[in-house]
Amino acid sequence: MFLSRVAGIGEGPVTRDLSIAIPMETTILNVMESWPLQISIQAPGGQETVALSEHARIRQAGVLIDPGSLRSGQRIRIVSRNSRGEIVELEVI
Amino acid sequence: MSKHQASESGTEAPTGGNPKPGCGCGGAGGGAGGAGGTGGAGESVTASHAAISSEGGGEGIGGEATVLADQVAESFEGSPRQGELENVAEFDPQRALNEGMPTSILTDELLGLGECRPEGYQPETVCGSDDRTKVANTTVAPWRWICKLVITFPNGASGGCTGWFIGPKAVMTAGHCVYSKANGGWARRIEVIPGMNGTARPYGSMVGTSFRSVRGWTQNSDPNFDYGCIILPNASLGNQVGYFGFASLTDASLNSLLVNNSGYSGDKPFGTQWFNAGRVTNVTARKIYYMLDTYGGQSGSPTWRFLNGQRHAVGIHAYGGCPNSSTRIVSQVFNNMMSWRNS
Repeated sequence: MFLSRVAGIGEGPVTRDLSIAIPMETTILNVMESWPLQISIQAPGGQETVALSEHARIRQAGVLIDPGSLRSGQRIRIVSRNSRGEIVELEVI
Repeated sequence: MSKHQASESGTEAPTGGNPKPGCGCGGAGGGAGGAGGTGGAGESVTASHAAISSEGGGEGIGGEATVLADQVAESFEGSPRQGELENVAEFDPQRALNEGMPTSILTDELLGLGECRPEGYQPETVCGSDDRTKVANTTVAPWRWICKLVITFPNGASGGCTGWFIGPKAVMTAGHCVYSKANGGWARRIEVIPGMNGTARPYGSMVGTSFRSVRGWTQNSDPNFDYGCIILPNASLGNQVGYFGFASLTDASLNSLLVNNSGYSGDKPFGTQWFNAGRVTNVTARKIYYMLDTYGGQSGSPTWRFLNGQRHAVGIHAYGGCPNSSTRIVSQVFNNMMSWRNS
């Protein structure tokens, strides 16, 4: 578990819980087509939205795959995240 | 045509018949992010469409929940018809139109059950063969109405999306492009670059710091309400390039409609605009599904009908997964867009 401090517009810095344990297995609920992608996942406390880092490494069966292969319903393992909470490494199970 | 109603005390019942899906087949759609959410437990659809500003104020726009008749901006008086494809050099309409699968039987609930999808389901947001075609000349309509967005979020992350002018100062996009829970909330700034073409910025750019979305997105993260708007500081850019019309169409008008889409794909050379077109494969109360090829970076791009020389956006592209999907412009979305257009 780790925390990051995030300043929102018109408010003081707030603490955002980036408490997903690493590694963590979960299910993709939706894939938002910003760049980098954002995905909503089923987290222990409910739905959470997570961004991928621009150079996120995504693997399936040990092979690097394109972020465009992600889709809702896939089981994934989040392997690592950076200090902003972005997914750096992810495996499609 | 635009209806402005206080929405804080809205009592309108959800009309889409979109209960949260069950959790069979891996439970993919069981959370609030399932496609069938209605904007939070006990909250009305009207309240979920209540406009929210990055400056902290709610604007209180509401309206009907059900699309009973086509509703269009400006003077277009369309009736249910099929659309036309934009004429883009090197785009192969036959190949694009023949792609897809019979998804008309899929409902929001079924689509939320990811592991229950039919055999032959294509996992890529590029659906089947990649039919995207580069827009060579972005200085003519409608391509110049479409903008590359360079976003800076409060956590320091930067991102890219697509937007499109709906008024002199108003640039429509996806909700998650102006408000991202993953990146700390409201964007700090978004640079809007209409008609960007590689390194060329034929109209320059403008930075927006004032954003709009709706409660259903900012508070509930409900994909059914994933739309937003950038309000630019002045009208010079919008008056120069022009802007899209938009329409709230009935199910009958949308089913199998030929639609067009163009945006700034993240897998292509930076700043290049990519077009695709195809048929709507499924329509639900608040989403439009299709097999058009899209990619990350195209969130916020317009999905539009081209008919009798008129262009009206009918959706705001937001999600991948084949079928890919747009937030549907239903009456409440239309009303909010009219309000934002007139900002």
